[in-house]
Amino acid sequence: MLCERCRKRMATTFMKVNGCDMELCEVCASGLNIYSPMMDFFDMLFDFDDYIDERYEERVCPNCGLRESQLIEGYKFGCSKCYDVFADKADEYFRELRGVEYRGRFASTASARKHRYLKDATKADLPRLYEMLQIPSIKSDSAKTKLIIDKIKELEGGR
Amino acid sequence: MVNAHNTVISSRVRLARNINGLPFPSRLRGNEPKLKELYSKTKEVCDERFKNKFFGVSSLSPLQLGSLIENHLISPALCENEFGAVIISDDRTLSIMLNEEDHLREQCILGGYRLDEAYRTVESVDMALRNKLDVAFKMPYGHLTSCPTNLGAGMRASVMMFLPAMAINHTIDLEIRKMRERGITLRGVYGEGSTADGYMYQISNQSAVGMSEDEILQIVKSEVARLCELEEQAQHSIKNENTFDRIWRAYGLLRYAKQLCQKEFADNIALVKLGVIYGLFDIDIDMLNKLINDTQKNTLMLNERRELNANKRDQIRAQMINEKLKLYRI
Repeated sequence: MLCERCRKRMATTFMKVNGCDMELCEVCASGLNIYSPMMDFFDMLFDFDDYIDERYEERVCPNCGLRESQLIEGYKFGCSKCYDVFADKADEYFRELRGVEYRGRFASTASARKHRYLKDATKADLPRLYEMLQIPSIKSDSAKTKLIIDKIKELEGGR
Repeated sequence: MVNAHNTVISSRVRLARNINGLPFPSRLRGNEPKLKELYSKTKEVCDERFKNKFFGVSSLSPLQLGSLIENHLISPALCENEFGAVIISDDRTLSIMLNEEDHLREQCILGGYRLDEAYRTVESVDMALRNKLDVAFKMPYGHLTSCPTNLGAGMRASVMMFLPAMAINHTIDLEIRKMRERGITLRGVYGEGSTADGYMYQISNQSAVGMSEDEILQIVKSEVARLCELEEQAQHSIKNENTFDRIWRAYGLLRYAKQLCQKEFADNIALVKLGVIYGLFDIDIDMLNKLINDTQKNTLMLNERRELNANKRDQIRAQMINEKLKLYRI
C-alpha cells in the first residue's frame, strides 16, 4: 500500500496522526518522529531506490538551482556560483582537463592576486590569514572561508 | 609552402564570457534584472564601436536563422534558447551571440589567413564589454564558463582550410586522429573526414584550459603551417593525368549542368579550385568561395526572397555557376 501522506513511497508503518490511523512510509514517519528500525528492512524489500535517494542529501546551487546529479550528468555548470558550491567537482574537472593556473589576460587582476597570495602564503602570513577570516565579506562566503582555513591547516600542519 | 591564400579560407576567434551571479543561459528564467542589463550594456558597447544590427532569435524566420548559421555568424545552439540574441556588425565580421551556451560568445571572422587580426579585433570588443559588465572570473580557472572545457581563456581559434589533395589521397583521416591527440580538432565543415563536402576543414583548439591567448594562437598557427606543408606534398603526389581528368570533368559539369545539388556542386567546385592551384585555369578563387557560400540552401532562398524546393534550388545553383564560368576564357 502507498503511504497515505505522500502517496509516493510504500507504507511501512502504522500510526495515529491527530487521532486518525494512518499507514505511512519511513520518510513521512521519520518526519513525524516515529521512525522504527524495522522500516529499514521494509524499505530494502519494497523500495530500495527511494531508500537511497532520501538519505543522500544532494547539493543544490542556491543561485541557479542546479543539482549535483545534473552537473555530473550534463557536465555543465549552471552559473558562476556553482564553481563555489561544487568546488570539489570544478577542481576534479579542471585536473582532468590538465588545467594549470590561468596565465592569460587579466591574470594580474585583483582576484588573481588574491588567489596567488593565498597560494604562495607562508607561515609568516598566518596572522594575516586569521585576520582575513574576520572580514565580513569572507565570513559570509563559506567557499572563501574554507579555502583560507585549509591553507591555515596546511601551514600549521607543517610546523 | 602552399600559398595560404589558396589553402586558408577564413580565420575566426571566439571568446566565451559569463556574467557573475546570472544563471547560465540553459538555466535562465527570463526575469533576472542582470539579464536585461546584459542585453542593454552589450548593445551599448557595440553601438559605440561599430555599426550593427540586433536580432532576437524569436524575431527571425527559420530561413534567416538558417542563413546566419550557414555564414557562421550564429551557431545552431543559439536558436534553441528563447533568450538568444545576436548583434552582427554591418560588415559581418563581428558577431556577439547572447545566451548561447554562455552569456556572451564574442566572435570575429575574417576572410583569409588573419588569425592575429581576428584576435585583436575581438579582444578590443571584449575589453570594452568587461568595462561595463561584471564578467565571471575566478582563479585558478580563469574565465568561468558553462562547459569546463572552455575554462581559462574561454577562447577558440579556428581556421577554415581547403585541403583537397589530403582528402583525395586519404591522408586527412590519419591527420584528424593525430591532431586529436595533440589537443587540436580537425573536422569537415560540411561532413566528416575524407568525405567532407568541398574538402573544407576547420582546425581549432579543443580546450582553452591552462593556456594563454597567445599560446592558443601559436598552437593553432603551427598546426595550420604544418597542414599547408602536408597539403602541398599531397598536391604534388596526386598531380597526374588522372587528377587532371577529374578536374576537367568537374569543370565541364559546372559549366554546363542544369541542376546541381549542394554536395555535387561543392565537390566539383573544389576540384576546379584545385585546377586553379595547378595552373590549369585562371579563375578567381575568391569568387568560387563566395559562390559556395551564396548557394547554400537557406542563403540561396534568402537571396531569392522566396521558399524553393530542392529541384528549383539545384537549377538556380547550376545557373549561377554556369554564368560565372562563362565569363572566363579557358
